[in-house]
Amino acid sequence: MESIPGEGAGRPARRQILVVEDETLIALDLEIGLTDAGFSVIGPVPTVAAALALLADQRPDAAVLDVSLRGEWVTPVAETLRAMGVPFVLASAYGGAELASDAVLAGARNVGKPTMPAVLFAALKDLLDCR
Amino acid sequence: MTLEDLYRMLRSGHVQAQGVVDSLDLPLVVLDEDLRVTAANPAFLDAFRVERDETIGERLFALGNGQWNIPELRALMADVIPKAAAVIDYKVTHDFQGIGRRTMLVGARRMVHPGGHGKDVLVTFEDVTDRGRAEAEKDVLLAETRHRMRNLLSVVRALAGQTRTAGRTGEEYRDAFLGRLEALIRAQDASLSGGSAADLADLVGRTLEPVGAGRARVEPGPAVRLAAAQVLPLGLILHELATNALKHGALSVPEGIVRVAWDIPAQADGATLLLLDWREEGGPPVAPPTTRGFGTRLIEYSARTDLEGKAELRFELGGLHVQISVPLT
Repeated sequence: MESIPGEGAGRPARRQILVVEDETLIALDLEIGLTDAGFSVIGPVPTVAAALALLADQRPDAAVLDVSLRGEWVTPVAETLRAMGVPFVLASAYGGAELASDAVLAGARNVGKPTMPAVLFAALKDLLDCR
Repeated sequence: MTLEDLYRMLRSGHVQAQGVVDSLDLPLVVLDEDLRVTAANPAFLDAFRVERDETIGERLFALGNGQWNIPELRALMADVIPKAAAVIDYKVTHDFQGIGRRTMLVGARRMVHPGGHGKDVLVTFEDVTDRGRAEAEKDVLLAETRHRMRNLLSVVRALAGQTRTAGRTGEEYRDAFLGRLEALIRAQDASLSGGSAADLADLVGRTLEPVGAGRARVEPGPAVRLAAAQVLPLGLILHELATNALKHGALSVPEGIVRVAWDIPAQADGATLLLLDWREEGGPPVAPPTTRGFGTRLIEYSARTDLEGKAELRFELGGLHVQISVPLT
């Protein structure tokens, strides 16, 4: 499996990925999957408020965002990330038509839900390589 | 009757055109070549809340303080009349005086008289505002259903992916996976059905049923009614604890038992806090695990984020002791 180099002598530190997802089992699956793939996870957090609180102190290298969080859209988090210059991917069951009305989400890549780990990891690698 | 039929009848002259027009449910007007109304059926007068006197003889675009003076409609008429073309179902959304914002499908057709000199135009209006609304509601419902289905599949995917495979046969893996899936299904049913499902004693009893009453000693506690959103996480947490006890903990040996008790101790700030105590006894020697498995992580994470409380796992000498605190509302 292609993975981001882990911590170790002479190696770069693990890239930090913020995970925003309100469904516990999916959040933990993402956390464990990303950790196994060599990333370091910030979160997971289930709400917009919790994500914004984390971003007040920490600057992730990239983020994975669910769109609908306990009835709220993730838009404020996406806007904050954009302002910070942190790239993100969406992992949402919503399709393009539903996201089209949201300026900051419409342009983002959506790896879909259920999320195939290989697709997510490749998308994150693209985001991190482009920086 | 379609517009086509009506047109044919009008042209044939064998029927009273006015009678046909009057009996149609569809709002309809006949305009002369200056676009003055020469006939309007009761359905039209009714639909747009206008009087016959103020309608007949007036130009269409002057009717009702010019409420029909819609650029789209003007363009339509300008196209239809010179070319004698028919326009079917042209959609116009407009704020109409008296009836508010409506969406109409407008049909227009020039009527050719046998003499060849007539330039009358038949215009029909079908109000589809509510149809549009119903369809929009249906679309939202479909999108939501699709969203939930994908979410559910994601959850199943997560369970399949996070159920340990190392050191297990295919059968053992399947049983562990299905055990979690069934716990999820039961907990989801319970959280949706309300009623006694939200009773803590019932939830504990149901979840520990497979363990058997002799080995799961549930001490009677105060009646606790859980919020719907708390039933599913707590059900899954209890399932994970029971599964772990059967596999590695006190219930993995014949003489081991687990004691479950709860209380709502008075809090200094007046808040209502449920304390649930899970204590394993008589099992094999306990040592803290070197790695945290999915089950342990699920218990701690779900207690914190879903229940907004916390779960503390203590690997005590006599057996695993878990304290879960859940704020009640």
